[in-house]
Amino acid sequence: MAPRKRRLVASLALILMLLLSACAAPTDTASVRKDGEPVRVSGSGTCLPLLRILSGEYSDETVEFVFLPGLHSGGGIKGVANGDLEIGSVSRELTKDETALGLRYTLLSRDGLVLATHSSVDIPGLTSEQVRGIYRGDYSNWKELGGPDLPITILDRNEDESAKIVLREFVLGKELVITPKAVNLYYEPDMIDGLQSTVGAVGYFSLGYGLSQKLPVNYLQLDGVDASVENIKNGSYDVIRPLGIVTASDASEEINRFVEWASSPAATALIEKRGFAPAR
Amino acid sequence: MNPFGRHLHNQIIAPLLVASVFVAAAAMIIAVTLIGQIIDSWIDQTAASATVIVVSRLEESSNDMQRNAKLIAEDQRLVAAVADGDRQTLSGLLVLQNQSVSADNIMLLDGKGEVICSTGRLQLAPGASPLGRGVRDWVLLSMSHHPILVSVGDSYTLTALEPVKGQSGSTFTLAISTVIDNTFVEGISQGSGAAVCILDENKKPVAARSTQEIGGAAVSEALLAPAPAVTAAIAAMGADSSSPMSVGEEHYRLKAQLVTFENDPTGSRAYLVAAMPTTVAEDARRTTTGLIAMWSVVAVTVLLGLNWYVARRVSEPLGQLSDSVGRVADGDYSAKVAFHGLNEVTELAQSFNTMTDSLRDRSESLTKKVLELATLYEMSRALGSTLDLDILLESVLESAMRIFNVELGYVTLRDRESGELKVRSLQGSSSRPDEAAVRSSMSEWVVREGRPLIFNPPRPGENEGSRIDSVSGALAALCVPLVSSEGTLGAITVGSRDPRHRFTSDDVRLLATIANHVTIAIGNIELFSSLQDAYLATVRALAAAVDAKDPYTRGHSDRVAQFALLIADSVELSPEQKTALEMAAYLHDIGKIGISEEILLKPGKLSDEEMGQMRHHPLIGANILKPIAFPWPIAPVVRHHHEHFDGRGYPAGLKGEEIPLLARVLTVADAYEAMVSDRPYRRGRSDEDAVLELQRCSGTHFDPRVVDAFIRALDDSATAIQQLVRPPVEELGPEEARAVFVAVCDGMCASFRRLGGPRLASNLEQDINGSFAADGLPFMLSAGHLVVEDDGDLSDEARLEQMRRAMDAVAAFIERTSGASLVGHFYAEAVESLPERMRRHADDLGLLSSRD
Repeated sequence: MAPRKRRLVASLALILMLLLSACAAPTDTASVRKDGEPVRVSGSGTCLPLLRILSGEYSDETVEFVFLPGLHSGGGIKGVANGDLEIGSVSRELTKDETALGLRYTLLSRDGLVLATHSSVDIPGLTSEQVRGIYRGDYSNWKELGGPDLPITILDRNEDESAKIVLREFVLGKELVITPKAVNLYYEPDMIDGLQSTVGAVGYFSLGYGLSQKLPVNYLQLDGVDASVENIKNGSYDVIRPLGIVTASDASEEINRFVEWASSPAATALIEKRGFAPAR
Repeated sequence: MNPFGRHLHNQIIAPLLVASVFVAAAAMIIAVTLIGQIIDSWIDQTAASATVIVVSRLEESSNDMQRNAKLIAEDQRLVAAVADGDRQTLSGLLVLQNQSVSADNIMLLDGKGEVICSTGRLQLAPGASPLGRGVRDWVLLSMSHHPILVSVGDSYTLTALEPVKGQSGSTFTLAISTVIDNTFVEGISQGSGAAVCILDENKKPVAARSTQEIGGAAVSEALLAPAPAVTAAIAAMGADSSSPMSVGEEHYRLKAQLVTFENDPTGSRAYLVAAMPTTVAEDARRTTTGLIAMWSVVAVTVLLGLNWYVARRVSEPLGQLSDSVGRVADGDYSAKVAFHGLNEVTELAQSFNTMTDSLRDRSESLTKKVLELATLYEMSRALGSTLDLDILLESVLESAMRIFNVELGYVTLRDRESGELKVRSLQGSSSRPDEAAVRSSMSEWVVREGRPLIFNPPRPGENEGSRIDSVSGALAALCVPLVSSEGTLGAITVGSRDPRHRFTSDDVRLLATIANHVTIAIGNIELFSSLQDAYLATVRALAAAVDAKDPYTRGHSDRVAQFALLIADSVELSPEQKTALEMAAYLHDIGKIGISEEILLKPGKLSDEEMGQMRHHPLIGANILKPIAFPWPIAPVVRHHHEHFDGRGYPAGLKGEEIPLLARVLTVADAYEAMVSDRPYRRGRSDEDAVLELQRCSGTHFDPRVVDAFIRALDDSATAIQQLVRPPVEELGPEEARAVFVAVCDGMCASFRRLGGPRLASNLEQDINGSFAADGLPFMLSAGHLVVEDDGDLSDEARLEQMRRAMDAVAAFIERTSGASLVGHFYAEAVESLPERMRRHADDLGLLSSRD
């Protein structure tokens, strides 16, 4: 009975939406959002999990969020700038050109970048040099690094990804040439998926996401330092990237209210609880 | 008695009830069976189609996997890496490729079937050998294959294999696997409406999935457990049936399907079992069955009601008719049946009613005729049995009123002398009509015209003033003349005060018949009474002859006859005997005609010889009368009227009962008359002496019973005489009372004068006149007589009071002068001297009541 009723309600809603859209579509362009329409969110894939957490906990039920597929940080900024998005997620510093767009940037969290292996590789950590060696292609088997006899499967991200940028900035250095044996994965979930399903794989991803999802992978110490919120807060773990959002300067009242709330102490506590380091 | 055999009603209903119940039950059984079969086959078909859907989805996904396997195997980088034998790169590439194909697992196997690299859920480490030996052999054939069902490591998978050329002619195999787990089953079974379970070639359950609507986890678990129902379903595979399974309250039908692929060299196979819930079907079956059952009950009830109605419509009239026929058979012709509507039954009812009406009419007229006949018969007997006109008319009227069922009736007869019409007998009305009423009555007209007359009260609506018979007061009346050969004697009339009563011409005929009888009877009575009168005249003539012979005993016979009749009344003789006695009394001394006048008229005592002659007279009388054919036995009475009860009489010396009764009566009457009457030679004795003499001689001379009866009769007649001559007190007129008073007063004064002399009497007058004047009494004594002055209008009571006061004054004076005892004496003397009638009045008036 209950599912049937739910189905009925859903189909009625669908019909209503079709009617509404039939009325609205010819007169409006898709770029301008009207009040009551869902708030469109996209941008950096790293930051989206955080925004999902925040939007899920947001108390105002009248505001509906829709998460469009990841566009990376730059795509999010451009989307907000030309009005295709209301909120763009950004997991890196804004460039000069981007700052010139005059958008409102709000820092929500500082996310650690953690190196990890498939759970079959039971080493506690790597030094920065060892990491550089792996990505340079110096090692082919975990034996060489004190691990099990398993070939190393190197998972990497594109150079313009914020995670790769941060990794290069803090660990690899700008000049390091990545071995061709490494494979570039486009999205962070792919990276995480590969890390979980491939014996002997190594890769890196958002600490906050990993902690919040309790991923069954082997988190590595970097230079003997645990990747933890605590260590990020006290500054001993410094491979971090800023997670923030951009909104239009003339954004609607309800979006501004959300932004205000997201940077409030209550939201900060929530962020920290879920494994993300707070903004400051 | 069998209730079903008794009433037509039940006989109609019972078979129809049985039939309708039987039809309803049969319809229900057939319907339920058919529905059951339809639903079962529907479930089977649905289950079969569900398996078809699932299998086709499985094939679809296996086709996708084969395509993906081909794409990946042809990837240049992969081919290059394989050629290089670069395991690290291969592993990375597999990760990369899997991002696009999203397979559960992708792995690369070397010629020995060992894992070179692998990514995905199977978590295979390089060097592992996940395939079973049997499978490994053909895997290494380096051929492209349609996906096969195979266990990889611990998992049962659908795996597509694609050869990849390796180093130095070696061939690697790329394997893309989809783990057949619950999630996969869910994917391929979505929308099939069935819970699906997949079993491997050993019929071991691998995965099962059921959506929440179909029963959820409970069903999945039931399917995964080694369920006999699943085994049965697999055993029944290919047949056109399904096996039942129950999980908790829910019921399912299982349909199994063998899953194989074309061009599968391994001949791998799996079994797919679809569990189709029958809940909806069961609901439908139950609801439908319920509806059919309900409809059947409603139909049976409606049919039964209809049957009931029809049966009543048929049987009730028949029942009523039957009852009515029974009543008619019992003689109740008022039985009617009434039905509404217009059909054969109402026609029957009308015919029946007409029949009973006609029967009733006939029966009533028959009854009336019988009654008439019976009454006429009775009446004719009554007419013959009496010669008394009044009794006759009374009984005739009673009978006539009974016949006509009316309450009034009278007979008028024309008086022979005056010619006036007089009412002779009247029934049903208490007041005697006066002559005027008779003159204006209908019988006057009828007697005058000699024709019958009916009048009936006007019917409601008829504008005619109602007439009332002046004699009887009847509203409806019928009058018929009594016509004899000598003309119209009178008329007989019957009538009713009921304004609804109607007389008919039949009634006229009937009353005319009665009138004829009455006329004849009146004629008879007149004839008889004239005959009797003739006899009496004859007898009187004979008696007169005796009287002429013996003038001393003149009137003797008449008086003896009176005394004899007095005794006859007392001993209750019949009218004929009385007549005979009367005749005998008149004639008892007829024999004295034969006695010589010397003896007969001789004063003083007769000699024995003369007496002997004298004693012949009863015999002579009897002999004289013998030749006359009197209707009554008179001669024996005359012969024996001097017999004595003790047998010492003459002429026959009969004794006691031997003497005829009438003779014994006559003896007493004769003796009494002889004692009390005066004769030339002696005075008659007083009544009392005569009675004493009778009593003295009772038993010797006379029959004691006759003597007793006579004395009783004398007493009664004395009382009767007294009552006759003594009118009631209230009828005593004031004049008469005053006359009594004056007489008593005069008597007392006369007695006083006799005793006290004229001088004292004159004193008395003066004194009393003074008292009267002082009292204002309207009386005055003058020369020994009381004079009454005119006293104007006074009530009788007041006058009586005046008289008493006057008497008191007289009595007081006498008492004063002569003593109290003389007052009573004078009063008694005065009253004694009064005639009998006045004497009694004086007592009644109580003139001297205060003294005594």
